[in-house]
Amino acid sequence: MTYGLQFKNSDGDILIDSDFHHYHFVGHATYVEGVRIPALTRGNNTKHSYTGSTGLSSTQINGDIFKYRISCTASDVPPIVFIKPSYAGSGAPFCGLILTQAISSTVWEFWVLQDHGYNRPSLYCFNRFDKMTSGQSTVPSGVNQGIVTFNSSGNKTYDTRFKPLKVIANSVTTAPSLARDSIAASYNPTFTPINVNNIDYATGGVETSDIMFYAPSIAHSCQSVKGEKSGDGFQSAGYNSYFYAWVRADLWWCFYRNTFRLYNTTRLQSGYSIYASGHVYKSQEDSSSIFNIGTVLGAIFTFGASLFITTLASIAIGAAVASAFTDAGLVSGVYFPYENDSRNAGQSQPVIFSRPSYYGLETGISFESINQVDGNDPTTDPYSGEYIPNFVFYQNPDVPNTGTFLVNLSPGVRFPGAPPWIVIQYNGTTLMDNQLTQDFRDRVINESYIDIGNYRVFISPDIVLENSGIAYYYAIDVVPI
Amino acid sequence: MAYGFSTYDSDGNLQFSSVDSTWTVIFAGLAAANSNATFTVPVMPTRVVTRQMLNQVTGDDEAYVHTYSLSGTTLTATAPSSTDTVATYFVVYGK
Repeated sequence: MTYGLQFKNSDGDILIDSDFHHYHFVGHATYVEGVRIPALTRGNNTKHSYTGSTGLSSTQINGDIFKYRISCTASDVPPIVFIKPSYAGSGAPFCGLILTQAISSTVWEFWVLQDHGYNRPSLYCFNRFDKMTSGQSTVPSGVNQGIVTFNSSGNKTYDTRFKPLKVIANSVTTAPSLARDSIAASYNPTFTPINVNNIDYATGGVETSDIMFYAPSIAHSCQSVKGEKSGDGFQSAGYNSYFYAWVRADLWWCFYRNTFRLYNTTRLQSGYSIYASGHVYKSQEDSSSIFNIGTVLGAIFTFGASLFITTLASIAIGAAVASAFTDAGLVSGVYFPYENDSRNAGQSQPVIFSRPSYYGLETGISFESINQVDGNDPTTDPYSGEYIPNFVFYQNPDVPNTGTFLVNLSPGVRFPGAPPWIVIQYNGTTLMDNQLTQDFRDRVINESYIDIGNYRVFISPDIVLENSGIAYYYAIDVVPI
Repeated sequence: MAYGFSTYDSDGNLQFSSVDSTWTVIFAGLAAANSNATFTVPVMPTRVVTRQMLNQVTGDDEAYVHTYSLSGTTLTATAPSSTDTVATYFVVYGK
């Protein structure tokens, strides 16, 4: 620089340079809603074909997509967004910034995919002064001292009266080439992502609860598995008796996006979370007469070979997906762009770390639902220690940040019947941290509220939204007594 | 500290001191979908380039991100596919 102002540290690294538009904290992105891509399932069964496994595999569990928004004055320069995960550790969810888009000339929307936990992360947003809204760039009242730098165009580039982006560490990540090395064929195939890349970083001992990272997700992977069954027999129907033969073909797939979790104070893990998943199947049957059965069986021989192509080409899952997406605000499609491969997985992506405590922790209510540890060896199973949510909570998207939540009392997926563990926090204070006993569940149903410490938890079973036999929803309000 | 500088916010919290280390955003720019692009980026002793997909990954495309090379003041973004490369937002940090 020929003129201006530079501050350097003792190593000669630049801290402040009036030539550069330093990014300053502009606030937490506002949570808007949470959605999931609906199950992409479609198929048919014939009279005699195999009729089982018509839904998704039990491991095809799409992650939650949390949507956030924040304002700025540019539709071509998004704010820089750091993710502060809801928690860290071997059981922590993987999450990643999978979408950044301008939804108007002044509002940016960010989507974070999280594989489990329902305790959404916080987004810390930074922008340059010339892209801030007037509210964001207004100097706090009564603060008249400090240093302000300007560039040669007269634009403000740094102001000590605001909180600058302060990076404490960086590293470089890549995504695994696949979410799983292989998926065994079965009628309940396992899609749970297990491959991770470990990325070490050094912050000098900062606790994981005070670390946030910037690492937009750029990699994705799509994996699939196929199945086939066939059979034949004789259908007795008097003078109308006949031989029959049938075949059914199935295709399951998952579309994954690259996500991350803070494993400990020195390690970030890069893996995948399921973004979309589907299962299509098709059955065909020939019930020709006894005189033609030889022809039928011959036809089946070729029929089975061509059925996968027939299935993918002829099943109109696109139409089903489009209608299913109507309320989800997602682009329709089958999310099956390629087969058993990935894109951008080998691309190096730097990870930038900072500390949320520099900017103020977001307050509010948070729920954590955890079940039990799977007990596998963590050195071979990166999901060992994963807490399986079988008591999950959704924040009411219509009333954000009010402490009103909907609770889904679904049975456990992997450990049905196992007593769940529940943690309820309000503004960082733990209200409850124990096993969800039958007594508690009885009280939830029979009482209008439960006092936990200095807080009263209101239960509203009278506004059950759904009772399909697999999910029971209640509203929960937590207020100080 | 015996020498150097420190900056504090209005609450008296330390922002930077000359014993801190940080990375500064020195460039941010958008490479349009399915197109190559060239940018001019300031030179600093150490730089890292991050990429961010802009806009939705649609249901059926392959969604490649731009590859890049950075040499001197030139950041070259290359679209791997002329039809399936998403808009890529480049942020370059330097120190």
